[in-house]
Amino acid sequence: MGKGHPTAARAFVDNRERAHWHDTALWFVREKRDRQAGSLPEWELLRETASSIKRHAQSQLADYLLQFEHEATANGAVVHWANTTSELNEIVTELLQSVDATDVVKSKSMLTEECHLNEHLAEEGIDVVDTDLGERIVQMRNERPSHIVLPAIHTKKEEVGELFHEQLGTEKGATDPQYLTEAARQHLREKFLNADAAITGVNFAIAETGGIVVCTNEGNADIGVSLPKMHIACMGLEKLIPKLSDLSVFTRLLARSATGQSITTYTSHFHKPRRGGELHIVILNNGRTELRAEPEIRDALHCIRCGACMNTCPVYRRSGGHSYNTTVPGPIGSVLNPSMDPKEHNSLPFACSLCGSCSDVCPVQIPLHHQLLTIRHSVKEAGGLAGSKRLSMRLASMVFKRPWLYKLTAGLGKCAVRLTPRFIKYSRLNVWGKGRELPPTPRGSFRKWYDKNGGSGGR
Amino acid sequence: MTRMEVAVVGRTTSRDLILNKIRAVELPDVSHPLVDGVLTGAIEYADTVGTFVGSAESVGARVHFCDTDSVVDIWHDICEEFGSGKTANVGIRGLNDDDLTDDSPHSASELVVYGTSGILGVAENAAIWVSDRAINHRVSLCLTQHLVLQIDAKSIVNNMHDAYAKLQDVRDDYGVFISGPSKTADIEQSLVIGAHGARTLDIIVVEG
Ligand code: SF4
Repeated sequence: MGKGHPTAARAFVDNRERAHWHDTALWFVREKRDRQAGSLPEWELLRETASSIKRHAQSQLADYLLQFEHEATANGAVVHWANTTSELNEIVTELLQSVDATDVVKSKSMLTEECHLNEHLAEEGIDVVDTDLGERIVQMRNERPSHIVLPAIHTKKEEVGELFHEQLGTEKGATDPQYLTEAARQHLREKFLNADAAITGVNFAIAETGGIVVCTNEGNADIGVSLPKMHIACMGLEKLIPKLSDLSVFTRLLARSATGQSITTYTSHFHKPRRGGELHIVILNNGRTELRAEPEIRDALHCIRCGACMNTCPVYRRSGGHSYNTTVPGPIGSVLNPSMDPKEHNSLPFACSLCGSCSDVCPVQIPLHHQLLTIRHSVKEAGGLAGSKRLSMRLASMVFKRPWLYKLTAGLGKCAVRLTPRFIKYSRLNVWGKGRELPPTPRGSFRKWYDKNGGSGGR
Repeated sequence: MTRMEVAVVGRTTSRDLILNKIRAVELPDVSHPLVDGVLTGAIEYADTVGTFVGSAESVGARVHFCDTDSVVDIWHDICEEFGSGKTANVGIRGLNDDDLTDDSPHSASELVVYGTSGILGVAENAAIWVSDRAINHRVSLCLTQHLVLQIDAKSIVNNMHDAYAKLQDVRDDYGVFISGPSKTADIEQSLVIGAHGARTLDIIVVEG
């Protein structure tokens, strides 16, 4: 069993100044998202539509995967299937070895993080350079990303300056983001021009056309894959969408939810490899089919990895992504990881104040906080819960089993949030405050949500 | 059997294994929510071109308006502004195509200014669809220091739904929506224009 979230979060939380800085940085991104969402009258319609498209795709997943394989093959791509992460790593290694690749550039892909592909390739003597600036920073620091969209959000510019001074020879003490970004641009241009192959993730795979779509702001994916002969795209099988026109819905939601942009700078559609090149697409399962069999959790497969649930989560913002010890942190990570490996990650569903803000912002309407509660129950039933959380859990489950009591306590809670001075809420004496900032009064309360979703039987 | 062959057999099994696992769990039938890919009720702008310009400026692009005859002048002005380095262009009105001729895409790394035309523009986010149909090396779009995209004012649509509807029958080998110059905010959320792709984007909107 890994060390639990509270233990892993301690150092981060104890550095109060830094925790506050992290919190503020993410709240800033959350606010940008709100402005974008507010600018479209059809926002809720888009979310609903996106959710239905994903549900539809999941209901006919086998057919869509086969259609995708057929179309992609007709386009000249080669489709590979991997049931486990080690299979994916093997396939990628063999492909790279077939062109004697030793220097590989990669653009952001949480999936290859999930497979620990870099480490695997390093053992085979293949050097992989992450080319997204944030990912490059964490790679140079020998860390893992702390956020799925903003990989280096936990890092200060002074630290980046020091890192670049040591490894790229920038001026000592330089902290100007413009200057540091320029240094990275020069450094990575070298890598792009000398790469033997490129690896990318996939944001969307289109069954109808056999194409894949990759979204970036930096342009690293497009440069990376268009220079060397080989492009290997790695995707989870849940990335499939039925039609090209479905992209209109997802491209409108993704960047607005992720960073508060109306679209990413590059939304790149690859149907054929570059002239004279090869395009390989590896489809990974790694437990996704098992997740798909769980009625209460399966919607988590709709996730488009926008990161909005992290930016809004009071626990994530104040404890940092690394405290989750997972590839995907935050609310969605707290659903996915314990579902796939309950023993290792059983503390994560409790890294949550059940404020419901994650479900409110999720562009594909995953009922995250409801799922977290479900997983809490199964962890508790399995007896895998640390003693210190037991009492509060018992209280919580007592309250949640009795809707009238929830109604009452939620009302009290809202008043208390508004009336309690900040120093009490965040005092170090307050154990809950340590890992759990009390949320801003939620827009749509869990209570309302619970009623809407047929939970009124207890009254 | 060689190791490679064993591995290939293993993978055929993985494919069947995955498909069987999926088929073993039947999910409730949910119909696709869009009929003919249309989302009714999406935002429409009274002034599509004006909205496009506002969006373009907010993502850090410059917009130039002109008629068919003066595209060339704007192109030359831009090239002059960025110095005397290598330029190339495909599909710019009034200019002969002058694309990279080298077989290797790596030659695009010398580009200072690259110009081509986009098929359509999107008002809500300033995205411009560019494909590699006419282009020798698709990487030119990103590897050039400065990018110039020409579009027709008439080709500007409201939103992404209208855009994909127009692209429905287009099967580009590679196509990309480009919205502004490349950018990053990976260092303390400070926006820096000019990450890996083009440092600037000039959009020439041709009227008439
Ligand atoms: S769960 Fe929803 S909000 Fe969280 S990353 Fe996935 S899509 Fe975004």
